[in-house]
Amino acid sequence: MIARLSPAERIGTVAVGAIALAWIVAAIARRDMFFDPVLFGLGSGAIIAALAIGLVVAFRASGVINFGHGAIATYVTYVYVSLVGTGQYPVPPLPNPLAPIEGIAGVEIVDFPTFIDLGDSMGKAPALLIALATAAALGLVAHFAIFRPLRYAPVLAKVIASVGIMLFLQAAVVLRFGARAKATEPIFPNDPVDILGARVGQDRLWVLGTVVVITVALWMLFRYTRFGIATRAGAENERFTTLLGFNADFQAGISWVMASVLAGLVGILVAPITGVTPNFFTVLLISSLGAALLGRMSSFVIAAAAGLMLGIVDQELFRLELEWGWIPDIGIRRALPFVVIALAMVIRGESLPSRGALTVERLPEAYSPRITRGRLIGYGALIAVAFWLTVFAPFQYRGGMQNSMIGVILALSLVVVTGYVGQISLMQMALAGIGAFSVASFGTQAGMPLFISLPLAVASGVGFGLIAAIPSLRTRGASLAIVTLASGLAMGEIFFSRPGWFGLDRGVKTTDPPTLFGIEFGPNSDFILGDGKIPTGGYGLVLLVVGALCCISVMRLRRSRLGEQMLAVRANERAAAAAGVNVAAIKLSAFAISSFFAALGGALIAFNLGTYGTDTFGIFASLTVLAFAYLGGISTVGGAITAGTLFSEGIGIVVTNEWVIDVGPYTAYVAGFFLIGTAVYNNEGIDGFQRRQFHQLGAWLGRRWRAARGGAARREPEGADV
Amino acid sequence: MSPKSPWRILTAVLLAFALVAAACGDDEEDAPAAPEPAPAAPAEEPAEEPMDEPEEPAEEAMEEPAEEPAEEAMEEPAEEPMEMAPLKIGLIAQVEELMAFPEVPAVAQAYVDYFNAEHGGADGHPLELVVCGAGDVPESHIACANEFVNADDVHVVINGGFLSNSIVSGTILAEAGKANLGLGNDFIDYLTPNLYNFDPGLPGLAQVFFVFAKAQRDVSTMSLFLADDPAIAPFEPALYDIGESNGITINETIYLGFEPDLTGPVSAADASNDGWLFVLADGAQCTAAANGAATVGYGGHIFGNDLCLSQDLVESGAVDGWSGPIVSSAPTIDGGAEIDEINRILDTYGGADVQTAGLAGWALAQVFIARDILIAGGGADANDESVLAALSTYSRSDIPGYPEVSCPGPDPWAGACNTSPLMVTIADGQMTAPDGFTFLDFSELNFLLG
Repeated sequence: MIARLSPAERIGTVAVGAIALAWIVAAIARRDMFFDPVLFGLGSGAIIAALAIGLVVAFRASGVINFGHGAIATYVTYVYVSLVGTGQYPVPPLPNPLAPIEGIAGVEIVDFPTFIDLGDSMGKAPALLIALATAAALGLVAHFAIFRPLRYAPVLAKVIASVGIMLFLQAAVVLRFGARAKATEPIFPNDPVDILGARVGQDRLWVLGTVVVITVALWMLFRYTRFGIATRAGAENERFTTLLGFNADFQAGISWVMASVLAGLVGILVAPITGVTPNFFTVLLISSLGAALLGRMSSFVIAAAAGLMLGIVDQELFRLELEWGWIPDIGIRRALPFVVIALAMVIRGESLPSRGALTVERLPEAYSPRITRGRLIGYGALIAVAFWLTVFAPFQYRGGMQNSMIGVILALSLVVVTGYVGQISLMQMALAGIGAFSVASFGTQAGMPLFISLPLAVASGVGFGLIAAIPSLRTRGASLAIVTLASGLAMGEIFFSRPGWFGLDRGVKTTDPPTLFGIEFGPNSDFILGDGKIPTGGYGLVLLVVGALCCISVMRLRRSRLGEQMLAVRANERAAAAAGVNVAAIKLSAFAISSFFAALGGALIAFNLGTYGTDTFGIFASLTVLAFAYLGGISTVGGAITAGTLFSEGIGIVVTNEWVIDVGPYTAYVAGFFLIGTAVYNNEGIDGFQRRQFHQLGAWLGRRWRAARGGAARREPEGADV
Repeated sequence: MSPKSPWRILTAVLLAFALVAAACGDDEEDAPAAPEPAPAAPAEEPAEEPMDEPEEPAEEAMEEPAEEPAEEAMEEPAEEPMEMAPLKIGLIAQVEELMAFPEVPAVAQAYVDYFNAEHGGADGHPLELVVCGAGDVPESHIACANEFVNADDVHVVINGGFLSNSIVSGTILAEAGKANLGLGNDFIDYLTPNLYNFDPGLPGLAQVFFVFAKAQRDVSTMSLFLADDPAIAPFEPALYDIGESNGITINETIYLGFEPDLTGPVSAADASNDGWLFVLADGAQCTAAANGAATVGYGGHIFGNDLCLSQDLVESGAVDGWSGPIVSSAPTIDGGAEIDEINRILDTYGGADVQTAGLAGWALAQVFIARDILIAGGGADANDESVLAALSTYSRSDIPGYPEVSCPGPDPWAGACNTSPLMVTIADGQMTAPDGFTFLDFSELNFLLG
C-alpha cells in the first residue's frame, strides 16, 4: 500500500508514524505530560468535533458553510435552560403590523408576549424534546426561507445569509434571556473516574461517546441508506440525481433539520460542563470550522477526528508551555485554529468540494454611472447636505456623521476586495486594528508627527493585508472567507492582545487627538463653526473630506483598466487568465487597496475613540462590517455610503432613534433579519434596490412625458395641411 | 416595475419595525414567573420608560427649556412636589448587546422613585433619571457622554460603562468638567483627573483576594489561574508581589485559554496549595472551572472574580463554596436590616423582578451619591463646577450595603473612592458575607506606575 503512495505522501506517512511512536515513548516516560492531556483534551475535542460534524451535515446537503451553526446551538440551549429552570418557553419573534405606529406615536397598542408559561420548571426529558423540536423548526426555516432560495446564488450570498443567522439568533438570545452566563444541572453522570491516575469527569466521556455514536451513525446513514446515497449523489451532480427521481430539496431540508438538531443537542449536553453565554458556541465555531475543513466538509470521520485532535493538541501545548518555560508566550494556543485552517486550506492546496449543482451566478452589479451634469449636481447636493450635517446640525447628528464617514471608508475596503474582485474577506476590522494600534504606537507613543505616523499606520495595514492575502492565491469562496476569518483572529491574538510597545498599555490603547501644524482637530477640539457642543465639526469635516476622496478614488478605480481587470477576475478567473490578466497580481492589488482603506478607517477610529481595547477590532466586528457593507450594497460606492449610514451610531441610526423608534437594543437583531432578506432577495443591497427603483421611476416618467408629447403632436396635424 | 415589488418593500419595512416591537414584547405578564429572564425582561420595562421620556426632555432642554418642567410635572403627579424643577441625574447604562447590565437602570430608577416618594426628592426638588442606553461598542458610549456634556441641566452622570467603554465616556465627561460616578475597571480609570469611581475595579481585585485569603482563610500558598485576556494581563506582575506582601506565595500560574473544558488546566495545578484563585474573563469559564475543580476533587479554598458571581451562576450551585468580591452587600442573605430595607425599596418601587445581583448594589449607591452631591452643589442652583467640587471631596459611611466611601482616593489613585470590596462566600446557591468588607490599600499598587 505504501508503494502506491507518492513520494510526498510517503514522507508524510513516515513523519506521522515517527511522531506517533515518539509520543508513545514519551507518554510512557512522562504520563502526566503526554498521556493525561489526551484524556483532558478529549472533553474539549468532543465538543469541537460535534460542532464540526454538524457543519459537515449542512454543507453536504446544501453547500453552505453555516456561520450561524453556533448561534443555533446557543439559542436551543437557552431554550432548554429556560424550560428546565422556570418552565418558560420563549416566543419566537413574530411581526407586529402595528409596530411602526406604536414606535412613532409612542403608544403600545398590542401587548406582545415574549414567553409562554408552561408551568413550573420542566423535567429534563420533556425540555430536551421541546428544545430539539425548536432546533428542528429552526432548521426547516433556515432551509425553506433562506438557503433554498439561495441554492443558485453566489457563495457570498450564502456566507452573508449565515452571518445574518448568527447575528439574528445571538441578538434574540440577548433580548430574551439577557447577556449573562447560564448554568444548568448535569444531564450525564458527572462523578469523576480515575483513568491511569488521571481524574476525568464521567460526563466528558459520555459526551465523547455520544459524539462517536453520532459520527458513526451519520457515516452509515450517508453511506448505506438511500437517503444518504442520494445526498452524496446530489452533491456530485444535482441534475443527474433529480433525473433519477430523487428530491434534492427534500434531502436538503432533512439535512438542515439534522444539522440544527445536532447543534442543539451538543449545546444542551455540554452546557452543564461549560456553561453557556450568548456567543459561546459562535466563538467555538472557529475551531470547529478548522476541523470540518480538514475533513474537506465531506467526511464525518475526519472532521470528528480532527476536532478531537484539536482538543488534544491544545492540551498538549498547554502542558508543554506549563512545563517548559523556555517556550515563548506568543499565543500559540489561541492561534491554533488559524494554524489548522491554514494547513487545511493552503498546504493541501485544495478548495472545498464544489457541489455539482445547477448554478446561475448572479453576481451583484458593479454599477458605475456615467458622470453627467445631473449627477454632478446630485453629488454636490449630497456633499452640501453632508457638510451641513457634519458642521451645523445638532451634536447628535454630527456624531452620527463622523461615525458614518468612518463606516463608509471601512465599507469601501470591502467594495474593492469583495465587490470588485469577488474575494470574501472577513478580516477587515483586524486590518483596521493594525491601523489603529499603529497610529497610536507611532504617533502617541513614539511622538512622530501625524504626516509620518498616519502613512506608517496605513502602510502597516497594507503590509499585513498582503501577507494575509497570500491564501487567496490558492483558495476562493467560502474557503477564503474562513481563512481570512482565521487570519483576523491570529492578528488579534498575536498583536492586539499582548502588552508591549505595539500592544496594549495597562489593558487599553490610547491615541492623542490628531494634530497638524499645531492645529488639533479631534472630535472634541475647538472649532470655529457650529454651536460649540461636542463633537465639534472640525474632525467631522476632515472625515468628510477624507471620505469623499476615498469614494472618488474607488469610483475612478472602477472605471480604470485595473477595475476592469478586477471585474474580469470576479466573473471568471480562468477566462481572465486566458485573456492575459495576471490573476494573482489583481488579487494582491485588491487586497492591498482594501487594506489601505481598512487601516485608514482604523486610524480614524483611533482618533475618534481616543482610548480603546481589542474588542473594537475583533472577529465579530469584522462580521458586522461585512454585514452592513452587504446590506448597503457591496459592489458600489453608493452601497458603501449607504452602509456607512447604518454603521454603529451612524447617521441613519441617529435619525431613526430621534424620529422613529429607539433601535439601540435591537440593532443587531434587525440587522440580522435584513441581512438575510438582502442575501435572499436583493444581493445588490439597498443601493442597488434604490437605483433600480429610481431608474424605473425615471423610465415611467419618461414614458408619461413622451406619451403626453406624442398626444400633443398627433393633435397638431388635424389643423395642418397634409 | 413588478406589481409585487412595492408590497415587498412595505412588508420588509413593516417587518423590521415589527421585529423591534416583537423583541420588546410584554414583560409584565411573564416576569413574575420567570426569574431567569427577569434580569433582562423587567429591566427593559423601567429602562425603556425613562429612556423614552427623559431623552426628549434632555433634547428639549436645549431647544425648548421652558416647556420641560410642566411636562414632567404632568407625567409624575403622585411622587414629588409639582412646583419644583427636577434635579436630573444622567445614567449611561450599558444595557445592549452581549455585555449588558439591565439591573443598573432598573435599580437606579427604583431608588430615584424611592427618594421622590419618601424623602421629597433632593432638597425639595424631584429627582429625575435621564437614561442613555449604550451597547458594547464604544461609539454608543461616546454618544451618551456627548449627550450629557451638552445637556445644561444634567450636572452629574452615573457612568455604567464597562472596561474600555467606561474610560472612553469617562474621559469625555471629565474633560468637560462634568461630575462622573464611574464603574472603574482599568488603571487609567483611577489615574485620570476628575474621574471618580465607586468600585475597586481591577486594581482592587489585584489585592482583595490576598488580603482576604490571608486574614480570613489563613492561606499561605496559592495557585493562580488567569484567563488569557489582555484586560487581566497588566495586573499579573502585581499579583505576585501583593501576594508576598500579604504572606501568600503564588507558586504557580496557569493560563487558561478559551477551551470549553478546563479539567486539564485545573488538573495541572498543585492540589496541595491552600488556595486556588481564578481570575476569569467570561461567566462560562466560571462553570467550566468549577466543574474542573470538582472533578479533580480539590479540597482547599477557591476564590473567583466577580464574573463568577452572577445571579444565575450562584443559584445554579455551580460555584458553591467559592468566595469572590462584589461591590455592595445588597445581594447577600445575611446582611441584616440594611439588606431588608434595600429589598423593601426595590420591591416597592422596582417591582418583584428587580434583583440585587450584579451591579444593582453599585447602582443604588450611585443614586445616593448623586443626590448628595447635587444637594451639596447647590440643589436647584447647582452647576457643573459646584457639583464636581462636591464630588471631589465627597465622603459618606452609611450608604446601604456599601462600605465607607470618600473622594479623592489615596494618592495617586485619586479616582479610587471605594477601595473596600465585599468578599462573599457562596453557600447553597446564595451569597453570604460572614467576613464583611475587606479594606484595601491602593498604595500597594504604586510600583506598577513605574
